[in-house]
Amino acid sequence: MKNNDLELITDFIKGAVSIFKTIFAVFCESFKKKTIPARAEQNPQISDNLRGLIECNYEKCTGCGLCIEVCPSMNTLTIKEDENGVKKLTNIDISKCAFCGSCAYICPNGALNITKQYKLATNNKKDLILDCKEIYKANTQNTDKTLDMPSFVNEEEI
Amino acid sequence: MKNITHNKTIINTNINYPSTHGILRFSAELEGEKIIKFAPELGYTHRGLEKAAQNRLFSQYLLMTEKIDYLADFFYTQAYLSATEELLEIELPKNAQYIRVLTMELNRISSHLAWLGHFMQNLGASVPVFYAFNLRNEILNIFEKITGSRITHNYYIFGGVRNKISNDVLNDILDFIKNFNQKFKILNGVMAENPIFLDRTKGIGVITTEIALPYSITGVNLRASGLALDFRKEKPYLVYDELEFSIPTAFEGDCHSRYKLRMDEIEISLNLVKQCTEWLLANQNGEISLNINQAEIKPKAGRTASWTESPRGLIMCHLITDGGKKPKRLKWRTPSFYAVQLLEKIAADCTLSDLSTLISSLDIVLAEADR
Amino acid sequence: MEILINFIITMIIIISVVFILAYLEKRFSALFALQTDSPASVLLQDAACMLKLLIKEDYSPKKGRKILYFTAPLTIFCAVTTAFCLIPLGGFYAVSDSFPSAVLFIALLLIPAAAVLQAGYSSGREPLISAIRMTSNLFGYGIPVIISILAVSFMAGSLNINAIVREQSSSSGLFGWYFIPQIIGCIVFFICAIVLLNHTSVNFSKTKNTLISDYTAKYSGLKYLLFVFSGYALALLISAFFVCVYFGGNLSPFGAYILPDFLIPLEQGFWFILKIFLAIFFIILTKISLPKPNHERFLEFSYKILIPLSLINLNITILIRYLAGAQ
Repeated sequence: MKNNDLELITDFIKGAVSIFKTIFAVFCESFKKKTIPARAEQNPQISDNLRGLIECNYEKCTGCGLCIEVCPSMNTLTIKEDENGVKKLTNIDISKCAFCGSCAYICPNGALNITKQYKLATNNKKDLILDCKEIYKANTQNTDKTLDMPSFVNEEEI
Repeated sequence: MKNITHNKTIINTNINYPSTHGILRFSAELEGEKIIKFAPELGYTHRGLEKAAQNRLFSQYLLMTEKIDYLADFFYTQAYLSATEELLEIELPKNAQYIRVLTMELNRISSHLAWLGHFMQNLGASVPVFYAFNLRNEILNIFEKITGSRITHNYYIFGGVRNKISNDVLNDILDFIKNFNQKFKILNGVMAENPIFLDRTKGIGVITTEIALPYSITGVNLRASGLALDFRKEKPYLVYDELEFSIPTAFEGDCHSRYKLRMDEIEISLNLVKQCTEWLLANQNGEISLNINQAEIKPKAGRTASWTESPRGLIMCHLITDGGKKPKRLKWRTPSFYAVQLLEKIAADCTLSDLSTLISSLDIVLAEADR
Repeated sequence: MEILINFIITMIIIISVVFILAYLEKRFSALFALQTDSPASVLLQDAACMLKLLIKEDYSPKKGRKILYFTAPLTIFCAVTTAFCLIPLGGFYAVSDSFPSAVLFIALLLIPAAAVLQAGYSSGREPLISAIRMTSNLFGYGIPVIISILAVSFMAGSLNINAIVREQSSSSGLFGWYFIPQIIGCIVFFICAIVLLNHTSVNFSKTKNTLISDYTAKYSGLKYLLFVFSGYALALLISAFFVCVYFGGNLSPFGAYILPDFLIPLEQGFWFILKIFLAIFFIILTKISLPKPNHERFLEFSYKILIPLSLINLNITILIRYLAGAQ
């Protein structure tokens, strides 16, 4: 604390003025438009680049293995020989996938593509290992292309 | 009354101590309210990220680098790519370099804003957190438009960046810069001239250059004690030698000057972002990557280290390769590790009620201290 | 039998009033922190929280100091609910005009300080530290309150709250209230009110350094609910007192009442509630926008600045009154 009386009083006044300014600023700011909502919206606005579920086009896949070489978690993609002896991408394990999209960016045949589907929760851990062949069959027969998770928590039930 | 000696008590805190950004445990010996000895303990967030590099290909490890520090992830990716691109002997195209600098400086601003919110909350004010995080939300929205994701971006690749930034997004960035100062003035000006705030931060936790240099402290903690050391000017990488910026310093070395310096750094980063955006608007037809096959990265055998200036200090990525597809040894030098060690010396002079301010003013993120 | 029914009705009214205050405080804090949330959810959450506390397990210490442990929440609760009868809400007064109710009111508000110490002493080592901190705060910031009230009583001529309110009524309405001549005392009281309300920003008993929880650490269930309840009731009482003494309790700012004669108690109640609302608004605004001061400087501020200021105020009031009376 300074010994000079005049400085003491000016410090005190400056301090009091800045406290009033703070209170006034908080008061004014509380009336402006709020940009972040309190609760998450049911259907939020998602950007064009959103990286959701990875989908494999079973016909185009040649089993080259480049997608495994860029995947950071090493157990997500499995390449095995199917019944005709051709190597194909058979399983995608969503529980280990980081949704980074590196596999889709590198696939030379364009077999993997990034969809915008992000509602992938289920109660059963076995449902998280997706079978690419069946999903491709279901998608080509189905006109609406969303994945139907078996024990998916439905929004209308909430 | 006879001489009353204060009893010495030892407190062992639980790991949920509130002022650290992460999990830090310490035990302190107290005499009354003053701390005599202080012993921090790290390791609760250790994830084995250096060992993980030895089992993965270069392209597989790229995504794990952003998880080291979740607030400043572009810097770690850049550090890793600097080291590998040096061994691959490639040079990035100009547009890619400018885009990298743009995103890194935006990341610096968002990291400092997150720090500001936590710092104010440790002092007891519960309102500035929301202001700071509202501002940070706008930056994360910009990141979402560029890269598709708010925090883990996966945007840098070997040889450049993944997508081009469109003109709409560049104009959005310019709008953001224009509206930033108005909202930032409240945080910087009004809330910080408060006498209560000044009383709690001035003179606390003084770090001088003689104390800081043996502990290898870099970044804002060192610049607040008087030494103007910024690795963007000492060892310029990317296009920092073509951009104009200055290095602010302070001389007192206490919590208040560290706070002031981080606020000044936000303004300087804003200026850098503006310069990069204007360059990118003027030169739109450049290449953004060298189109290397991302799955066949085989640097030559050798060893190198890259130097990057992150919001918390200096990051070094020390890489030893043997010509194969996996790194032989990868070592990260992270700045928060050294700040935690510095606490042992600095906390020995302060009282228990100032400890929380001191720890949060050093900007420690324990995820990067433990790796 | 009548007494029992009156008691139950009074308790129901008091509990619901405090409940509404708790909701208001949360709503204002959220408003200043730029949050948006629907009012219904906040009210329901509060109700659920209080109900949950009632059904928790009741803990009691095994060894020693049982009497102190059990009587601490009772003391606070009784002191706080008794003080409710001294505030003039409508036209019905519970105490006579010659009774020094201001003094009794302050004494009832400082009993919680002793009860807090009781609770901390019977709980253990760390609750004791927090109880001592809180008691030192309450006493340090209770003294300027007493001195400011003395100054007001010199202006009004009596220590009775009803008389103080009546003396502020004049034809000039707003300008006859005591906050203009006693501006220094008003500001001192405002600052002390913030501290006595014990919000987290000045709550040193619950600092995040070592004492994650405060002196109520060993209490659970109904006893804890009594502590929480009396915290909110104390907030309401202090702001009501502040409004009564400086802003003319249930008087209208226009000087005369607007509504016709038989509706005057309603209008008095309306003005009173509006003023309490504004007082709580400004108190919460102030305490939420400022960071927490250092504990030692905090007590220094009270003893070195607030008490001398209130004494200066008292001396000026006595001087002016003496000069005015001597003429």
